[in-house]
Amino acid sequence: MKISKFYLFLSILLLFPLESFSQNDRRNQLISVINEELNEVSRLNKQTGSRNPRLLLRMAELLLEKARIIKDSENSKFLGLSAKKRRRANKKKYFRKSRKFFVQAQKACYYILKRFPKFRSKGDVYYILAYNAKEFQQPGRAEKFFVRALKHAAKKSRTSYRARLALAEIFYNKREYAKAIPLYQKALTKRDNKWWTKDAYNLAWCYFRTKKKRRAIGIMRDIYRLSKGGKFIDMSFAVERDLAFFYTDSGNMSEAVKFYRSIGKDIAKNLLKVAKFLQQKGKYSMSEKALTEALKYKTDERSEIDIQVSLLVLYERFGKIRSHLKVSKTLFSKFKAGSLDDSDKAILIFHVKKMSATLQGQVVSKRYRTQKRLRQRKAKRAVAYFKILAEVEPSTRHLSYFHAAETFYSINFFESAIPLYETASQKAKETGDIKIFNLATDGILAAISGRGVKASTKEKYLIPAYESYLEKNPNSAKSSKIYQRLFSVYFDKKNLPKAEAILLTFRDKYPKNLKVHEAMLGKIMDHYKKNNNRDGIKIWINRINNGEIKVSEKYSRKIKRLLLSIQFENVEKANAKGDKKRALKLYLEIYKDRESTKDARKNASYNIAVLFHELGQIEKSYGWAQRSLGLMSPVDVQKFQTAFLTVAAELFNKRMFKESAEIYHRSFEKLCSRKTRNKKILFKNAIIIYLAEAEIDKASKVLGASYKCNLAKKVLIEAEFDLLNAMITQKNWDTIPGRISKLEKDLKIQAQLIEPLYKLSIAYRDSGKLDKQIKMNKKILNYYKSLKRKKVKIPLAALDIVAGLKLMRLDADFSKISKIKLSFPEARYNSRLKKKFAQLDSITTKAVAVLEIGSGRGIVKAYRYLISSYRGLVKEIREFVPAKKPEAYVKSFRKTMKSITRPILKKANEFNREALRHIRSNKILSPDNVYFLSNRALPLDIQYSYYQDGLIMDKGGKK
Amino acid sequence: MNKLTALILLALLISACGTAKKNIESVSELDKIKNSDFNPKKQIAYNSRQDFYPSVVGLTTESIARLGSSRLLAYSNGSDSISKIASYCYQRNFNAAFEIVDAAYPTHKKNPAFWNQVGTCFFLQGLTKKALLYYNKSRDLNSRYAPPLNNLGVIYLLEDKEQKALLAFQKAAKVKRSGLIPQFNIAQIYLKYGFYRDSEKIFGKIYRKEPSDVDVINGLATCKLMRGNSKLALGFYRKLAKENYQRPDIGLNYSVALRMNGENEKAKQVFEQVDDSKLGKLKPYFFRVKEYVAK
Repeated sequence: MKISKFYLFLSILLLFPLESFSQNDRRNQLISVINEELNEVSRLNKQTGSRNPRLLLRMAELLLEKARIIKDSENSKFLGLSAKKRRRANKKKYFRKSRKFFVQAQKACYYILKRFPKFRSKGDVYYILAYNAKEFQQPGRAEKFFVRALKHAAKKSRTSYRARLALAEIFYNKREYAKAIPLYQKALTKRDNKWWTKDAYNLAWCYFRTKKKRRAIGIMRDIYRLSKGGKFIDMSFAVERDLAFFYTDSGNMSEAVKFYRSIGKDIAKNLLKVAKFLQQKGKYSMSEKALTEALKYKTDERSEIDIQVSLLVLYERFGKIRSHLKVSKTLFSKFKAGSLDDSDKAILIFHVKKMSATLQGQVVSKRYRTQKRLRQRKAKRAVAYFKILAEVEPSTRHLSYFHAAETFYSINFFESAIPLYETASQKAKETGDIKIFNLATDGILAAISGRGVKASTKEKYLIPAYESYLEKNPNSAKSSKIYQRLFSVYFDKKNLPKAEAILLTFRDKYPKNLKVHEAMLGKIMDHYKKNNNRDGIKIWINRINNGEIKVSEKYSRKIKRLLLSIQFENVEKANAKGDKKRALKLYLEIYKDRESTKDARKNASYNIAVLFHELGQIEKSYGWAQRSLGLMSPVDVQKFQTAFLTVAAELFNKRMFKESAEIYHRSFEKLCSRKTRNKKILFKNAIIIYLAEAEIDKASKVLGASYKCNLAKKVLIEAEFDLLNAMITQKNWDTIPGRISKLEKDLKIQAQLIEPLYKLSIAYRDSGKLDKQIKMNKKILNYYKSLKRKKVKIPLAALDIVAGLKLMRLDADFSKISKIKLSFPEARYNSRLKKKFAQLDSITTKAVAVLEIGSGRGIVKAYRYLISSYRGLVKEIREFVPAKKPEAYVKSFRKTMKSITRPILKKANEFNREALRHIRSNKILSPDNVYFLSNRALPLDIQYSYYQDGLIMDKGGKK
Repeated sequence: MNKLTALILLALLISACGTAKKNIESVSELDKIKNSDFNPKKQIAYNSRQDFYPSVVGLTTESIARLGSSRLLAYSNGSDSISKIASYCYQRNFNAAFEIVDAAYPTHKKNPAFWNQVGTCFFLQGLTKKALLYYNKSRDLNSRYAPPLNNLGVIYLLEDKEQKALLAFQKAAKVKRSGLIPQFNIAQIYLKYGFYRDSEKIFGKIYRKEPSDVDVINGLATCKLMRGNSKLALGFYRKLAKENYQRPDIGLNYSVALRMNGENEKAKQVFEQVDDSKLGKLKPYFFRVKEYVAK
C-alpha cells in the first residue's frame, strides 16, 4: 500500500507542474517527503530487526530516489561551474552526497539478496542494483543486473517492462541491435506509455541497422504519427530527419520526397539534413543523391547554397574533383553575387584552398610525371581553383595567381603562365609583397623564354616584367642581368631614348661594371654611327669626358676614335677623292667646332699643319704644328714625329730659325720618355738651330732637360761642346767654368776640353786675371798628363795647345841661354860654357818632350828652338875671340872650340833634316815653317796672305 | 693691383684674344686655294753639267765672289735662280737675294747648289753658324758636291783652323778633281806656310786654264819669289793691271821683287801705292818690306 502511495505521491508531484516552486525548492520538497518516508521505513525496519525484505527494498528505493534527486542537484551545481573549473574540479567531491545514498541503496539491496535469497521481489532489487550500476557508469554490471531483474521480475510487472527497455537500450548503445530488437519488441507491444515513441525510435534504428528497412520505415511512420498526436513524446523532428534517410538509404528518394511533401516540410532542407547525416555515416553516394535531389526542390537561395556547400564537402570527401570544381564555381558565382555568408565563404575558401594546393601538389609531384594528359587536367583544375581563390580571398590574390602561374609553368604551359605571373606580380606590387613580386617577375622572365610563347605575348609582357622587377629590385645581383636584357629589348625595338635611359640607370646602380657600360654604349654608338648621328655620339663623348659615365681607358679611346671617324668621314672622302682643299676646310671646321673633342681637334690641327705644309704656307703650317703639339700626348707625337720633323725642316729651309727650333724643341720634349731614333735628330737640331740663333739660354734649357731623355752619352757630350763653344764665342766667361766642371769628370771628355780651357785661359789673360790663366794652363797640362798615361786619343788642336804651353817654358830656357855671355878669364869662360851646355841640355830635354806630344806646330817650333839654340851656341863659341891673348893661343883656342862645336852643329843639322822631313811629309802648317822652308838667300822672309781668307765656291765648275 | 696695371692687363688680354682669333684662319680664307696648289712642284734637279758660270773662265766659272758690282749685276738679271742669288748676295743685297731664294725654293728643295748658295748668303753676312747649317744641308743632299765642302774649309780658315780647312779643301778637290777653287785654296795655304813648290804646281795648273786671273798670277809670282827667282816673279807681276798693286798682298811682294831685281826706285813707287788701310795681318810684313825697300 505504502509503496503504491509512494509512487502515487511521486507521480502527483511530477505530473503537476510546480510553477510556483523553483527547481531547488522542488527538489528539497521531494527530498523532505522522501526523508519522511525513509525515517518511517527505517524505524519500522529497526523494529522488525531488518527482517522484512519489503521494508529494506523500500528503503533501497527511497535511498535510490533520494540519490537521484540529490545527484540532479549536484549535477546542476557542477554544470554551473565554468568549463575550466569543471575540468580541474574533483568530480567525486561534488557528487559525494548522492553517491553516499546510492551506496546505501546498494548496500540495502545486497543485504536483501544475501539475507533473503528467495525474496519474491528480487527483480526489483536487481533493478535497483542495475540502475545504480548505470549511475556509476558500469554498463557491464548494469547489463548483468538488468538481465537478472528481467529474469526475476514478474512477467508483466513494471519492473520487467523497465528492465527490458533498459536492457534493450544497453544493447542498442552497444550496437547489438539484434539483441535489442526482441527486447524492444516485447516492451513496446502496448502503446500505453508516452515514452513509447522514444523507445520505438530506437527500435526503428535497430531494424534499420539490421537491414530491416521496411520495418524501420514502418515504425518511423508510426512514431511520427503518434508524436503528432500529443500523447507521446514528440520524436517527429528526429523522424523527419531519419525517415528521409531511411528512404534515401533504401534507394527510395521519391518516397522521402513524398513524405516531406505530405508533412508539408521543406524538402530541400530536409534532404540536406539527410545528406549530411548520410555523409556522417560515410554514405557519400547516398548523400550526393540526396543533395542532388534537394537541389531540385530548393526553395530559396539560402537552401541552394547550403546544398551546394554540402555537395562541396561531399565531393571533397569523395574525391570527385570535377564535380567539386563545378560546385565551387557555382558557389563562386554566389559569392560574386554576395549571397554567401561568412561561414559559406569560409567553407568555400577552405575547399578552394585545399583543392588547389592538393592538385598543384599532384601536378608538381613525380607521380603523374608520365601521365601528361592527367597532369594537364589537374593543372587546369588547380588553376581554376586558384582563380576562384584569388577572388574569394583578395588579400592573398597575388599568391593565388602566382601559384596558378607556377602550376602552368610546371607543365610547360608558358603561354598561359605568363599572364598569370603578370597578374601576380601586379597584385604583389600593390600588396607590397616583394618576395612574390620578385618570384612572379622571375616567372615571367623564365616563361617568356620558354617554348611555345607567342611573339605577341613576349611583346606584351616582357618589358613590363623587366620594368616591374627593376622597380622593386633596382640593384640586386639579378637586376644587373635584367637591365641588360631590358636594354637589349629596347634597343632591338629601336627605342634609343629608353635604351639610353637604361644605360644611365645601370650606370648609377652598378658603377663599377664597366664592361657592361661599354657593351651597352657600344651598341648605342654603333647605332649613331650607322645613322651618321654625330650629335648623338657627341653627347655620349661629353658624358664620358665629364665623368658621367665611366669606361675603361681603352674603350674611351675607342669611342673617341669612333667620333673621330664620323667627324672625319667626310674628310676621308675628300682625301680619297684628292680634294685636299675641301679636306682642309673640313679639318678647319672640325677644329673650330666647340663640340669637337680634344682628339678631333688634335687630329684636325695636325692635318691642317700637314696640308699647309704641302701648300708651302710654312707660317701657317708652323702655327698649326704648334697647336697640334699642344694637344698631343707623347704617344701621339711619336706617331706623327715624321711630320713634325718635316715641318721643322721646312721652317729651317725657309730660314724661320726660331720657329724651326721651337718645333724641334717641343717635339723633343714630348718624345723625351719615348723610344725613337728621331729623338736624337730633334734634340740635335733644336740645339744647333738655337745656337745658330745665338739663343744660348734656350739651347742650355734643351740640353739641361735632355739628360732624363735616354739619349746616347755621345750625343749629349757633343751638344755640351757645341754649347760650350757658343758660350766661348759669346764670351760668357762666367758660365763656362761651371759647364767645364760638369764635363771634366769623364776622362775621355777631358781631351776635348783642352781647347775650350785654353780659350778660357786666353780670356783670363786678356782680362788681366793671370792667376786664373796660370791655373787653367796647369789644368790643361794635368789633363794631358793623365790622358797620356791612360793612352786616350787627344785631338790635334789640343796637342797644339799643350805643345804651345810647354814651348813657353822652352822659350824661357831659350832666352836664358843667350843671356849667358862667354868671356874670359878661362875659368869664367869654362864655367859659362858649362852653364850654356847645361841650358842646352835643358832645352833639348824640353824640346824632346814637346816633340813627343805629336803636335805638328809644336814639333816645328821645338825643332826651331833646338836648331836655333844649337846653332846659336856653335856660332857664339866659334866667333868668340879671347881678348888680349896671343894669336897662337887664340888659334889653338879656336881650333879646340871648333872641335867641341862640330858635333853640336852636326846635331843641329840633323834636327834640321828631321824638321824638314816632318814638315814636308805631314804638311805641317806652322808659322815656323818659314825658318825651315824659306830660301836663305832671300833678303827677307816672303809672306803670302790669303785672298779673302779663302775663296768661296758657288758652283761645281766645268767638268 | 692699381687701375693702370689692370688696364694694361686687360689690354694685353684683349690683344691676345684678338691675336688668337686672328691666327686661326676662317674657312672662307681657304677659298682661294686650289687643289693643284697641293701638288708638289716639279723639282729642278741638280745638273752637274750646267753647274758653272758661263761666259767666263778659270776660277770665275766656280765663283763670282771676286767680280765687281757691274759684272755681278749681269748675273742678277739672268735666268738661273742660283746665279741670281749669288749675284745679289755678293752685292750685299740680301733682301733681294732671299726673295729669290723664297721664290726658287719650291722647285729647288732638293738642289744642293741652291742650298750651298743660301749658305754663302749667310756666310757673307757673317753668320757662319747658319752658313754651316746650309752647307751641311747641301752636303746631305749630295755628299760628293764640292762647293759646300770647299766653303766649310773657308769657314775653318776664318776660325784659324787651317789644318781642318786644308782637309776640307783637299776633300773638295778629291770629289771634284776638275774643281779649281778648292785647288786654289789649297795652293794659298801651301804658299802661306812655305810649301811654295806644291803651291806653284797648283797655281800653274789654274794659270793654264785662266792666264788672266789676278790671284792666280799673284800666287805664281809669290811662289817664284819664294824660290828666289825675282825675275820670273816680276814677269808675272807685270801681267797685272796697275790697280792691283794697291792690294797689299800683291803690291808688297811686287815691291820686294823689284828691289831684289835692283829696281829700287820702282820698288819704292810700288810700295807707295800699296793701300796701307787694308793691311790686316800683313801689317808687320808691311814694315819689314818698307825697311827693305828703303835700303
